[in-house]
Amino acid sequence: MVKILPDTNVVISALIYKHKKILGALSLNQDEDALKFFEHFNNDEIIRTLTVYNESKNKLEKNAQNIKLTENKDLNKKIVAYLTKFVKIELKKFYPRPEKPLDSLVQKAKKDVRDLSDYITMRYNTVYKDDDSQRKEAKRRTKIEIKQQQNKGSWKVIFEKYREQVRIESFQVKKFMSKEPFDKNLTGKKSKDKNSGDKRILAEFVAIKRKHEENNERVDFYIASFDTGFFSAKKIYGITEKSDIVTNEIKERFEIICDIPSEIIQQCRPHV
Amino acid sequence: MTNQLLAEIENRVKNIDTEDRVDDTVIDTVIDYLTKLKNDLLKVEKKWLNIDHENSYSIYYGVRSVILVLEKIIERFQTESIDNVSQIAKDTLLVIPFINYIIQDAMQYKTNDDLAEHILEMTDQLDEKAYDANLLKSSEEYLHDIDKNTILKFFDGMLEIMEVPKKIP
Repeated sequence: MVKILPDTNVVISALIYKHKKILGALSLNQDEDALKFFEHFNNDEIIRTLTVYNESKNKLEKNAQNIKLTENKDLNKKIVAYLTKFVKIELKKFYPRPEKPLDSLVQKAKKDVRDLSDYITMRYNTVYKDDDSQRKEAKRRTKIEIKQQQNKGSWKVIFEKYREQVRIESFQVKKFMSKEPFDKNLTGKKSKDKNSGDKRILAEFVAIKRKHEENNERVDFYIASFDTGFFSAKKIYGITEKSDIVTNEIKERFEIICDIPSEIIQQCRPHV
Repeated sequence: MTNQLLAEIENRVKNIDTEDRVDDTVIDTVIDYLTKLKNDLLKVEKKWLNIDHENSYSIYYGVRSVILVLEKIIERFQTESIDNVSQIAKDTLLVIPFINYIIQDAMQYKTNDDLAEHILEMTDQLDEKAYDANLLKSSEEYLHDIDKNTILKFFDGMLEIMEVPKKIP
C-alpha cells in the first residue's frame, strides 16, 4: 500500500491544468503530470494535510484578489468575488478540507524537521557555501578515495570528479538555503522563513506516517512536488546525476521518498 | 430588523409540515421573506461597493457571500420538486441560524479593519456549511458570470506565483 502527499504546487498545478483544458487554452507551460497524478491514485492513497489545503486556498484567493481587470472598480469587485468563489469551490471538490492531525505527534515531528533543517544549514556552511568550501570538500573526498583504494591514479582527475559532484550537490542545498531565514544586515533580525510552509507540511506528513506505524501497517510513503529546493531533486540540463541532498536526507531520516509527480507514478505504478 | 427577519424565516421554515402536503402559499411566504432579506443586504452591499477603503472589498465579499447563499435557497424553493421541500427546509435550517449569527456578530465591531478581518473568517465557515448543505452555487454558475479571458489571466498569474517548471513543447 502507498500513501502519497501532493505538495501545494501539485494541487494548484493540477487544478489549473484541468481548467485550462476545459477552457480549451494552450497549456504548454503547464505540467499535466500534476493532474495525471490525481487521476492515477485513489482517495485512500492520497494524503491531504491542513497546511497544503490552507496554502492552496490562500494562494488562489490572493491571486484572485490581485488581478487587475477593468477600470470599473465596482465591476472588478464583483468579478474578483466570483473568481474567488469559483476557485474555492473547485478546491473543495479537488481537495476537501482535511482534519487537523494529532497535535502531539505533529509537535514531535516539527522538532525532527527542525533538526533536518539545522543539519542542511550546517552542511551548507561547511561544504557548499562558496567555491572555497566546495574545493575543500572535493579535496577531502579525493584524499579518502586515494587512501582507501590505494588509488595511484591522477590526483587531478579524481579531484575534478569530486569537484563536479560537490558542485551538482550544491544546487538543491543552495535553493533550500535561499528560503531559510538569515540575518542579512547582522542586526539580530532574521528574514522570513520561506521554507516554513514546507516544513509544516513535512511535519504533518511525518506525524500521519507515525500514526500508521503505531498500527503496524505496512505502507510506503511519498511526497509529490515540483519544489526542487525541498521535496524534489533538482535536475540539471545535460547531466544525469540529480542534485538531491535535501530529498535524500528526508528519505534517510523519515523513510519518505520525495520526487516529481511523474517519477512517483513510475515508481508506484510502473505498468501504467 | 434583519435579525427579526431571519428569526421569522427560521420559524417559517421550521413550521413547514413535511409530512403533509405543503401548501404553495407557505413556500411563497418563505420566498417573500428570503427575498426581502436579500434586498436589504443588497442595499448594504451597494454601500460597500461605493466605499473606497482598503478593507471595503472584504466586507463587500462577506455580504455578497450571504446574498449568494440566500439566492441559492430561493432558487431551490422555486425550482425543485415539491417532494423535495422537506430536504430544502432541512438544508436551509443548516445555514439560516449561522447567517443570523454572522449578522449579529458583525454589529459588534467598531472599526472596519476588525470587521473585515472577522467577516472573511465567518464567510469561510458559511461557505463550508453551505457546501455541505448543497446551498453553495456551483463553480459553473460562477464561471457563467466571469469572462473566459479573466479566468485564463488568473491561471497565468497563478503559474508565475507557483514557479511550476515549464514544460518544453
